[in-house]
Amino acid sequence: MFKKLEDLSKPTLLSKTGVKELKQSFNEQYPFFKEVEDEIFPKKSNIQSFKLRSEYKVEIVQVDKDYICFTKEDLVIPHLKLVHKFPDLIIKQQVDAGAIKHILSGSDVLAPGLISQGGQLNQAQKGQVVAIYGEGKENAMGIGIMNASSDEIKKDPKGHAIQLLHHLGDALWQLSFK
Amino acid sequence: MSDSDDDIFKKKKPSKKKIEQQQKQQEQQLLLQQQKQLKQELNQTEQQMNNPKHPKLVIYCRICTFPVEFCSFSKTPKECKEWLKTSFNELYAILYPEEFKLEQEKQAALLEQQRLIAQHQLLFQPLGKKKRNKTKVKESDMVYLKVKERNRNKFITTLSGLEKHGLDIKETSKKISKKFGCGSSINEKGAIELQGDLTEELIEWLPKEYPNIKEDMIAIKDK
Repeated sequence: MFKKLEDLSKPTLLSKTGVKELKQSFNEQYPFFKEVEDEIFPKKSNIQSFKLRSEYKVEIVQVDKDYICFTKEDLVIPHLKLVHKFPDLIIKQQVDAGAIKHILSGSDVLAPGLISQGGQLNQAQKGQVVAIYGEGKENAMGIGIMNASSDEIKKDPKGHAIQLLHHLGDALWQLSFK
Repeated sequence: MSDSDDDIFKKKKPSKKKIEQQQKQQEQQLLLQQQKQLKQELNQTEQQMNNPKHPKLVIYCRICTFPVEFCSFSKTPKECKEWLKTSFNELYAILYPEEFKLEQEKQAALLEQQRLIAQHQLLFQPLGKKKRNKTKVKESDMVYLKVKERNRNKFITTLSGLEKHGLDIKETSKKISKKFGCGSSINEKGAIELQGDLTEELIEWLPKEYPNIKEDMIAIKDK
């Protein structure tokens, strides 16, 4: 999704109601968020948002020059740096070692990579946000959305299992390192 | 012409080389500061490390902006390795253990070679002549010779410092004038003046006659 960032608009300050809605949706999707709320959104901080014109209803949220998350229609998806800091936020799925090369260049995750010996499949439902790890590595590699629940994948290991949204080295990742 | 105009013409902007040097120095200082911060934070207590509420520290490679374990999947794997060597040696040993061993073996081999060379030098010292320990000659024993020009092709030599060895001035001047066939006289200061250039002959003759005087004690003074 973030191969090229061309149509970024100027940053606008989020109003109080906007911040409240953000935090509500965070709480619903990630139950661990309550304990870490004060460290992610400190008091007296500048919360800004960018809009992407090339996609439909996508916004990027920034807190004091740190990129935190982006929203897509109704879902809230955290940035990879947040996941590195607090790895307990999201459900983890592990992939085989031979698939790391392909994921870092932007392809989707296929089902045999999750079921083989080097991978782990955890409980998840359709449409949930999930973090992808590699075999033998400590830190997360990418974030995606499940196409089908984990029970169905175990029965029929065929086709695309996870749709990739954000991975290491794409345009959003390079934005935060300028 | 006022002074302000001269200053404008004399002022030079720093050349391109200086600007580049300054930029490099600033980058190095930034690097050092970042490394210090990271090392301070790495020395966290164990309680903080295990606490899930505390943010976890991750080291990002400076060249490819990936976490350090993903450097081999980036576009510049060789340069990332060299950066790791200089900045974080401990992580380099963990992530690339084979190359770390090779380098250690090379260094050990180099040290052994140096030890062998040092041992060889000790055993086979070159046998040289033993030099006599030169005891410094005191100034009180020195005898000085001087040569002056009187006219073209005519010289005068002066001897001084003979009294310290217990020699009579008049007798020595007579002996020298008889031996070498030259005129001699005595100076106001107590030195002998001889006609002609007699430095070489005096250097040979003086130690033979008076064994108190040695060759080291004679010196030629220049103006």
